[in-house]
Amino acid sequence: MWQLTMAIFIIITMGSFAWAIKTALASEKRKRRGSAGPH
Amino acid sequence: MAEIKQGGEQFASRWGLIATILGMAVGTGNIWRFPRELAACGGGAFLVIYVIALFTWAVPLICAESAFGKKTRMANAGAFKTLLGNKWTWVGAWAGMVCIMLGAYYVVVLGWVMKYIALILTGFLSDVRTGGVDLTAQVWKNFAMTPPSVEAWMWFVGAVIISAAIIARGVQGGLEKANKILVPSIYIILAILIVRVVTLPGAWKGLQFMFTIDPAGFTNPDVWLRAYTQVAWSTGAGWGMFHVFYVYSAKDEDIMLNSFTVAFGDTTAATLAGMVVIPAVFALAPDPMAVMKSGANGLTFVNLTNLFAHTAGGFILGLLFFLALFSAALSSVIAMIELGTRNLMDMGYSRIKATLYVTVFFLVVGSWSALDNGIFENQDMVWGVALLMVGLLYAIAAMKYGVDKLWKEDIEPCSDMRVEWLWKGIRFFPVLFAFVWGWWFYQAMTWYPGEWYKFWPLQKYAYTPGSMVVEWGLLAVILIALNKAMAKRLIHSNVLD
Repeated sequence: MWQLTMAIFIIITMGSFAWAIKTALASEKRKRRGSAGPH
Repeated sequence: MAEIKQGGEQFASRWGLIATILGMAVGTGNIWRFPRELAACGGGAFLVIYVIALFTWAVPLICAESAFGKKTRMANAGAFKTLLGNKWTWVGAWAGMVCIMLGAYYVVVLGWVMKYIALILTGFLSDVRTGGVDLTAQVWKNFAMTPPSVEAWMWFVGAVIISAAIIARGVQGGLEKANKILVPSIYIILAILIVRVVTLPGAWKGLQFMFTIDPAGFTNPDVWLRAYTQVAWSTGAGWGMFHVFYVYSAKDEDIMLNSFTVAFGDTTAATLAGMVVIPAVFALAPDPMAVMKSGANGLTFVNLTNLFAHTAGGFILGLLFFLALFSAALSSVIAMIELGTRNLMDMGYSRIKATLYVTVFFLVVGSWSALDNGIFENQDMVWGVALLMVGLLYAIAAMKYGVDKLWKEDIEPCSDMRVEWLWKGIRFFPVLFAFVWGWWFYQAMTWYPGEWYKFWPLQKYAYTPGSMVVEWGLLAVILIALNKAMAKRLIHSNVLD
């Protein structure tokens, strides 16, 4: 049972962290692409 | 609003800002306090309550602070003045000063960690193999627990100089560059340590203890209060430091998503540290619970050091553990120095001059704690509890300015994560604060029956409500006296082009 708790907790905390970092960096990449160009 | 442009420093990238706020949040509290609190609360139930506290305490406060910094481009004192009026300047300054007072004694810990890295590199663990825990206890006592601790003071001075040198190099060249190295190194080192620790015979017992949920924990008020306190002291929410870093953020920085990132990034570091410390203690110590209850210093500098010495590959294990602790402590200390520096820069001082003044302040005030552990303990209690009050000040300031207004003007427009109810939870913060702060204050009274109001000598009455109120009050009186002068000088915001 504790193994299941460990798996769920790790997925929630570390998974949320990884998702948030990925979303933040992808969003910045998108913004930079959008602002590129002569203007 | 402030009108004079002052340099316009800015993080080079979003990752730079995220690394910096993560570096500030992930400190020694994640590595040596989280496992102890988890063990004291009996494991799994604490973890569940901790996640609840992340959403109800940390995320709303981080959003409030961040919005203040991004909106005003001024640090604590300047932002309170700009958003709420001149009379509030001292309140913002008090919030900032609490963090600076905390930083002044926290650097002492960085010095201790540096000393133990040097000890391990010079073969200390070989001596511990024969001397055992008696030797680690004796070395620790001679080094830091016997005033005047001159050697600990020398390491403290070194730690202040290293930290100040980073801040003097500015946002991109110092703060951002350092955190881009320090923060990933904490996670990588902890991950390497986990691989080694879980292969120790009996380590699984530690993991089992950590992740077994005892339903009785949910009905125990002590577990709730400890989990909320740990979130408050570990994430750095409501300390005024997120505020300062958002002074250098991009105009369209995503406050809500970054708050979520740092809350879970901090929890990830704490969980990794828990998965290193608890299984290591369960695998190596004859009485694991006695070790877990030996306090931060006892656990780290006495017991873990002894356990590393008696493990195969203990040199690498011990060195990596203290390097993780070093990265975590350094990234937090530089954040505290930056907070003081930015507040002075808002008054018109150059970065170099401001860093110099903050460094001198740290050296003068921190020396007291470095030389005498009794003072260190007092400062830890007084300013640790005061940090909870800083959170309340931010919640009140956000409500006074307008919770809906801040959402519409600064949080919602630039966010990939629009969870309005999470932000609006800040309206309930005063209730949470009353429980957590009240609990600490009440506890402190019970520790000193009949003497709770006394404060001198500080070493004797280190944890009394008397010493807390006197030190908080003294700081408030000084800042109220300086309110007018500060308000007049706070006109130099970090305006971006």
